[in-house]
Amino acid sequence: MSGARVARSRRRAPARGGREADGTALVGVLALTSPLWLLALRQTCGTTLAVGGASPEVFGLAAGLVAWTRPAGRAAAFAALLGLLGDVSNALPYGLDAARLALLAAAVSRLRCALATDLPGASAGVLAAFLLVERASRVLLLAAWLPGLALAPALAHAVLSALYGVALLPVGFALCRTLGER
Amino acid sequence: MAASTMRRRRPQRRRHWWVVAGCLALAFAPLPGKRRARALALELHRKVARAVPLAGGSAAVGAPTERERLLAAEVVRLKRALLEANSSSELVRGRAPVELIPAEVLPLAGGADALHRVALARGRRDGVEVGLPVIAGDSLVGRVAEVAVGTCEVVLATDPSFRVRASIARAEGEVEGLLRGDGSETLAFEPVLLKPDAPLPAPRVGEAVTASRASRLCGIPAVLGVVERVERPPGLGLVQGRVRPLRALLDLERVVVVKPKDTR
Repeated sequence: MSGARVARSRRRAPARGGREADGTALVGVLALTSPLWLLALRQTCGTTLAVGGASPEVFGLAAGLVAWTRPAGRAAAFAALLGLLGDVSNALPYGLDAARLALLAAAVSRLRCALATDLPGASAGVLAAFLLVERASRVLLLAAWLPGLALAPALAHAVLSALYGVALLPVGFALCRTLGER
Repeated sequence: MAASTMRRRRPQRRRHWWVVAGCLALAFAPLPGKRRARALALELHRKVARAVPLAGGSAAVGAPTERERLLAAEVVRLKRALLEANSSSELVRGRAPVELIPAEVLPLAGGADALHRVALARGRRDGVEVGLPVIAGDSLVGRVAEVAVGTCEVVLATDPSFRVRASIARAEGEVEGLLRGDGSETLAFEPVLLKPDAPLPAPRVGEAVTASRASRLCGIPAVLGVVERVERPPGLGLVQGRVRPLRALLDLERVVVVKPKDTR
């Protein structure tokens, strides 16, 4: 390698490192502000993507994806944060829905450790089951607190919402892969 | 070495249990800041909804040509809001003095939840109080359940926790009953017996259900909906009417909070 080429590569190296650092910082900022972005996305999905009265639950989807890619402690903390942010109606005691979501996220994270993750479709299958259980458990929790809730239509609506979330899983996986490369 | 690694890892494994336990403690411990924390989350929802145009807010950003289109749409929307406010005024005219507080509806969870609730961009500073009725046009759509500084939460009529005394007007006398939401698209109207020796009246398909004059929630005769079908639920001896609300409650854009003037 000639001296000039070595000098050029030395000059380039810090620039590349700086760009990587910028990217990592950007991902860090996105991760820190992700609850707000998710809240905006949730409200937008609720109004614009509703089909047949049902729309995907963005918080559940995000909690599931984070649980599949992160350790149980972090996944539970993130899910609890989303649960506290989303639990604004006074139907349930404040924090109960966050506990439910954190418990389910931790279960998915532990399941990922127990399963062979290189199985084709394992992640999609587990997350689809998570979305169904997440919506159904929410309905059952509400039914326990609000005895007047008609269980059959509420469960049907929950299944529809979960299936809608399953349809959005490829987008979530792609987003996770993009952010995970950083 | 391996044992010490295991010992070191154990607390990490249990970290999620601490998170769950913390949330449960928050839910069931009598902490003073809980209502405030929930109110802060509600305010955050309002601010995010306002900032994102598609999420139900009124911020309009776009190119000049788009802007004209949006302004035209805004004019149509405001004209409709004015019509609704006028019909609300007509509804309360000649009754006890009330104050009408128009409000913009902000979605909470949209169609992803079994709860039928929305937030309004009006709160304590605008005079909104817990328990006040909320109407859209001449139809009762819900009641205020929680109030923060600049926003409030409204339980819609189809929510499982909504109950109101309602009546059906007939030539032979009013049929009084209880109207309640159950999380589905329709409400259940259960007639009550006012005279012990009289037969229990049954609702008929097509009859309009209005808020009862005896209702403590809503003292104005706002319409709640129309009886869509009559059924006898299994295990219940009573005949029940399924009432379809006049408005699609989850698609509301503007509503009016009715506040009696003497409560201030």
